[in-house]
Amino acid sequence: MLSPLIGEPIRVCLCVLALLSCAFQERHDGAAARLVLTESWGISLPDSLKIVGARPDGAGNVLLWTDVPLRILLVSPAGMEQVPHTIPSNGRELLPVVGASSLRFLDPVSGRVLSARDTAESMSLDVLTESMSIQATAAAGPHLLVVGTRGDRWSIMVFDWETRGRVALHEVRDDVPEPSNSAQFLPTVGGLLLWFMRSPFTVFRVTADGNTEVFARVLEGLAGLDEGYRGDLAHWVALAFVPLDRGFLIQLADLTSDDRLLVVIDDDGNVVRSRTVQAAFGVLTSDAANRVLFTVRSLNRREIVAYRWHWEEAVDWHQTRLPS
Amino acid sequence: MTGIKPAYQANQEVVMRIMSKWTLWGVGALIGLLSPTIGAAQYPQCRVCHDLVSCPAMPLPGAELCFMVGDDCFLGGDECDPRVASRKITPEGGLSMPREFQERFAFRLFWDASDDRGVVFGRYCNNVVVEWVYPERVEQRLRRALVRIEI
Repeated sequence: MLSPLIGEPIRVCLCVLALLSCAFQERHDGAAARLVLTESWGISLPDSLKIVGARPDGAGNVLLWTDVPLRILLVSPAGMEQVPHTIPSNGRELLPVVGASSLRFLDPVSGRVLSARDTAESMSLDVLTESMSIQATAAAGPHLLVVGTRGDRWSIMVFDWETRGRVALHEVRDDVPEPSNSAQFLPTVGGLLLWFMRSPFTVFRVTADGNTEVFARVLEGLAGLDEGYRGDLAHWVALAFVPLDRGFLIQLADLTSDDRLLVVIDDDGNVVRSRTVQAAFGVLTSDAANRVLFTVRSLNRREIVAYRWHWEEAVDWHQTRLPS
Repeated sequence: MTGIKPAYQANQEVVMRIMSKWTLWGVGALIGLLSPTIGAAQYPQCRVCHDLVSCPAMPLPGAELCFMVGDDCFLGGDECDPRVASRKITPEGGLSMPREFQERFAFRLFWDASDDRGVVFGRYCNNVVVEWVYPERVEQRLRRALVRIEI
């Protein structure tokens, strides 16, 4: 008779423990962890330097470039130095091939992909036949994606890196917002993420085979956070969307102030954390493999500041949205 | 007959009254419709320079090409005169420029007296840009705060 009486509280305790462990596990997963950025080093930038792009060099440093003429600069803790390159200065603006293993640019007029390292690596692509206005290029695994507009539709031309031949031409589906210059691209494995600078900051995933789906609804996600930003954020713009080793970081800037909103999105597209920084501070690019975030700060002087990041397991339930 | 108007005359007066009312409404509506256009000539409709390729300022967070105070929009475009915009950006009677910036920025600095930071208008990429400036104590506080950022 005693065993059922003793067993019942034990069973209850076990159930409670199991529930707690489940909750604890949720709390300790990558999405809910706190992203901690720690300043590592910084270099002042001359005011005259007009940067048009940046990418990590893979060794904890960052490459910056100007457009006309194209100048490439390596910025490291030791300072800033100009990098010699083999790209002819033809006075044209070039599009960086985002995500490529080395620094390459597409000349949208000639259709040539130019390597900054070696002219032998340059190649011509048949990008000019579809009367497409080219907006961006991205390396996605074995493919080179050329994204542009044909009329009022987004189109993606897919090329094979090896054969240099065109594999496909896709039109992006109807419910993706119409082409505008506010669209930006981030390459991912097998495709790219298409994000927009204006509210509601929806991010679409576009695969190399032309399939499109909503990846993240940033505005909705922020509203779902306990202490997240509310409202339509109509006066805000997204300035950066960069990969982390777990998920992504998107930065929004308030046009009415120097408020900057840093938002962490997990690998499934859930908005999991946000933080406001009240300073002229912004994200340039990230080196996810080495966990280095490159930022620009403008606190009375412009400077490149590198932050190393790590994750700390969350202990508070605020600002954290558990996966549904 | 005094004091009594013929029916047609009364109707005419009513019609005139209605017409004048509608004329006023019409003129008002016309002005209302045109005013954004008139405003746009001086302050183009607020937008951000979306062209990241040709406009290098945008990726740099210290130099937005569009700046808003309340619902007023000040932004790039050759027609946008920051000296005009400044009159709106600074609350009337509230201009309080810290001495450390008075010589450095001369007339380009506009300070919000209610806050501890100001904005500088400059030209960049054929656009008016805005850069934030901070008094030294604020700069030091921000630098300390930005050493570690938890999200």
